Amino acid sequence: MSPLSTRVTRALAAPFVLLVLATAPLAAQQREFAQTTALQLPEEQRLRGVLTGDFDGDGRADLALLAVKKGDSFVRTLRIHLRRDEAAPFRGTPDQELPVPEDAVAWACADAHADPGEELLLFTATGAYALRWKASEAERFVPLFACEFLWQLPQPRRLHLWQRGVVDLDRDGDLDLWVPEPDGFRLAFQDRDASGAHFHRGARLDLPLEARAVKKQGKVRSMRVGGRVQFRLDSSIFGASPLLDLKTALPTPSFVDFDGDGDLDVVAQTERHVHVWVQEGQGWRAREESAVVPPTLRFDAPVPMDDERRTDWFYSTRVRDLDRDGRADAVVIYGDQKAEDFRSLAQVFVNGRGNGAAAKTAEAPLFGPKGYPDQLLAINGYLVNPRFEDVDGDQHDDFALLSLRFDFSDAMRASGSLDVDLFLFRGKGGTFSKEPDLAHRLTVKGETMRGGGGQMELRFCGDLTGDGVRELLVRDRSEHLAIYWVRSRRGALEVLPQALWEMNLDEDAELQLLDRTGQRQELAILEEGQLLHVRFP
Amino acid sequence: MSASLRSLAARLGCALIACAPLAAQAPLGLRLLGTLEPESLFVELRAIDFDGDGRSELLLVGEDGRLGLFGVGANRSLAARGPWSALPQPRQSLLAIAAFEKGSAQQELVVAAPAGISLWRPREDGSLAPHVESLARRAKFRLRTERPRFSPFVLDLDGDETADLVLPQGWICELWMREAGDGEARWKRQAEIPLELETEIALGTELLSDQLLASYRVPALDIQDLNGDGRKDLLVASGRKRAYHLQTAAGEIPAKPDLELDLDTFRDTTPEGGLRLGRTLQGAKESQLDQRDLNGDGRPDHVIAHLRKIWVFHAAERGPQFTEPAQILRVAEDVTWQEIAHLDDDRWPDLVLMRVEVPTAAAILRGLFAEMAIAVKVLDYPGSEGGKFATLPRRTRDLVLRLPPLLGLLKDFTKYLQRLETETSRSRVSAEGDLDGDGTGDLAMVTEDGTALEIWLGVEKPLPGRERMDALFRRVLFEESDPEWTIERLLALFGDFLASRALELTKGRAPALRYELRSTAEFTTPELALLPLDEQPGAELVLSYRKIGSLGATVIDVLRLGKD
Repeated sequence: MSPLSTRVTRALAAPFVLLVLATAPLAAQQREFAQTTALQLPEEQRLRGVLTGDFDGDGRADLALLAVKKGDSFVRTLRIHLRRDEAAPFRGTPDQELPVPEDAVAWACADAHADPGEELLLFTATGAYALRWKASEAERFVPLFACEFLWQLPQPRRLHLWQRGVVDLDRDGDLDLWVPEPDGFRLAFQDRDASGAHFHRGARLDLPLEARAVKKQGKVRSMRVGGRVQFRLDSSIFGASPLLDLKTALPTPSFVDFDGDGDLDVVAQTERHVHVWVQEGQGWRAREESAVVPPTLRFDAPVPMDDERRTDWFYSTRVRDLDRDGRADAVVIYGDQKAEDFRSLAQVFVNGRGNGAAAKTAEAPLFGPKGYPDQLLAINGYLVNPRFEDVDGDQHDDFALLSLRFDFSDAMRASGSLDVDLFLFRGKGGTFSKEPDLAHRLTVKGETMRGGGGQMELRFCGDLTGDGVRELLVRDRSEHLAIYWVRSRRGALEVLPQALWEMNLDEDAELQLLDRTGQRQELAILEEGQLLHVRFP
Repeated sequence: MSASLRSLAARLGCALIACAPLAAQAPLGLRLLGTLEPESLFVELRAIDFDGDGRSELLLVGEDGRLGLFGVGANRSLAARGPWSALPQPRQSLLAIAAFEKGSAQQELVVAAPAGISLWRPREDGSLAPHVESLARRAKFRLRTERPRFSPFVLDLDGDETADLVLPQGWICELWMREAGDGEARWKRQAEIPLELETEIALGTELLSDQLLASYRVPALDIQDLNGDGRKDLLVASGRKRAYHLQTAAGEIPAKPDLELDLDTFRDTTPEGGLRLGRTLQGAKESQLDQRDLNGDGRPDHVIAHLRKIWVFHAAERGPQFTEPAQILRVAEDVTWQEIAHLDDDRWPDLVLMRVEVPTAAAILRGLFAEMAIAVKVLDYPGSEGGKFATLPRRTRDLVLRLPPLLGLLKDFTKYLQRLETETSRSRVSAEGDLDGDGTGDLAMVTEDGTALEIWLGVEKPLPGRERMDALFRRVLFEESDPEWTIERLLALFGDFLASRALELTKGRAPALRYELRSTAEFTTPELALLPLDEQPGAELVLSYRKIGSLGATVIDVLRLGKD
């Protein structure tokens, strides 16, 4: 090479090298941010569920996939994939494949046996069982306790997920179980000793009288299930005579510490009241199996679930420890019927704080004697998917919601699109900011909303960047998924415009967030014939 | 006697004669024979004729499994026949009432439980007890019913005038057929039939305002004569498959179906478009099956439709067949929905196609704030003697569905629900039977507000359900002069349909009498039954109420029609 060409070459090469060096960290960052492993099912199987658990006791989260035989919806199989410290954490071939008994209705995961690690639990109409995946067929199913599981028939192509039935009721470090029965909530306690783990069937928490009483009912029945309002017409108007018609509905209980004494209590709501079963003294574990425990406390619901509220799209009640004082607080959200446009109101009640005269009464620690909230927030727009979770990492719940604001100018856009706003109100000491601390807008095309927009997601996921603030998961189109960095800068939160990660997926794919205490969140993308496992190292 | 006296006497006499019929026609009324307030909760009641003498007793079954028998005595009042007895497994019991012996009107109480299927009759003291502990050793009912429930699981499947059993066991149903022969009655498990349950499941969320829900509805079996041989056959739907079990001459319903149909084998090659804004809404992605006797031969024929293609299969002598279509229709444009219905006065069912135009995205978004019109086109293809449809439409009609601003609809949804509730209340609780003993049917109906009972004597037989639906289609799609439909008008139409059966029965007549029911603030709308409980001609009227706010306390009034 001539000296001139060498100089030219070097002159041209330098910025090129600089460019390569500058982009290398970004490229490396893109490469490392997420790792996706595909676990494919055999041609004749369809994926219908996934659970995560440490099935071999090595401290790593493994996966259990529920597969259903194509064309025969009751032939179900569990495929266990153990995690390894390798480039690809899971192997394509499962470490174990087990048939699911025909009468299994639901599943969960918990450490319920002396074997190392956690077990898969199966629930049938009459009892709960631990599944020892390494054991021989004769020893595989260990009966835990008998019960009248509310859901007595298996469903084709699925197992119901009953993970919320796994709680440490007596806070002794061993996970216990509760199941709904037609007449109440059955408790079962785990004990461990030298001979292993044992469950004993405990008392039943009785349903409040109001839940069981006969009501005057019309022919249009409305119910709130899955966070939504459901309507059905009484089949008697069509004169149908089925072979059998069984329907049982129970209030949903929340297991929380109501009185701050360190053990779990239960809170449930009926039409007009909030009921609390307070675990006192030696606790429910000491009660006999035949005992039926009625609610201990009853309060007037500050916003009763009457006929109007039962059909209120926005109505919801939840209990959580918002101020981290060890006692459950409450938030009631409902539609403002008086507003001309869509508007929701959120009443926040902080346990023990009270409001108004005679505050902090022992008789009414949560709602106070008159049901006055500690905070009232008004939220404009069509409220969707309100959540309470610690987004900013300060150990206090924040209030996140989506709002659809219907503006006539939106309607006139040629593109036919719609704006969806994500708002976050930071929480502190049980109450929330009066104005949103974070607002993020997503524009959705009209076509995307066909099918009800069921595949849309706009929510906070885990902290994937290590800064203590949760990231934002966005599925703005059914075939597109992205994660955005939510950053705290000088105390203010912002969503960076450039996605940290994105991928295309099957438009019918289901998304599940896999949470394990103390571990970074992972994603499970369930497609018909495979699972895509996404981890963020 | 003077002339004036004779005249007076004559006039008096005439007056007396004129009054006599009036005296004989003293007004009718309902008299309370007795009231029962059993201790058990959620009591259900049925009439049962243990003796086969045409006179029934009232069987009461409580939530706790207690059984009681009541009847109308010689003193015309209601009284218990004996002490209460109890079912051994009340939370897993299915009950039925049926006659088991050929030619006998004697009825039995049939109890299906995990221990087996037993027959119960009254003992000497009037209490009920099983006299047959197990009809068939292996027939055991396995589901949890939470309290005893009546179910139509005993029926004569094969037309031999003896009882067979259809035992629901979740997603399958066991057919137990009585074996022919004069010896001791035996039942044999003939088949296991897959069932399509309607289920609703909710496992709850973190929300206290949500409910946990377990709802399972097991439909009755579809039993009908599928091949015109006068014997009942069985049609089983399981997902996309249909199985046809044809009863043999020997009276057996085969375990293995004679014919199986996979609806997915019938597919149109038109690309599936689904919901496309601004275009015709394409109908169901999956092929749909309809069944009707198209050619009047007494055998049900089948029509399968998928997207733009329609196959017509006439039943053969041996029964349904899906290999030789009588006709294949192909329409030029997408179809949203199709139906077979009588749209004219001839015998032959017609084919109705409907096309719904989906608004554009911009129109939908504008529709959030302003009224939106959705165009619906309806086409009528007449049927003919050969069981085929015309290939060109006889008539078309353009309808318009006008929706209010969608945001307003969402905001005022409760208002529409209340209107729906009002319209559904036009489906009135009713019972039919011979109340006055004159051999003709009578009708008892609760008023829409639930405060009173109205009685009509001598009512007409109503049209079968399918014919009423046909009449509705015909009226709505082609005969209503106003082609524009609003939500309010649709709700009113729904209410009219629900009320139509009663209207057919009563022909719009005013009720013959009215009876005030118990207070609606304290009691639910009663269930009605017309049951012959005594030796008098005519049935008694039994009203079963539940007390509002109770855990299921039941009050039962038994009334009799008589002259006041």
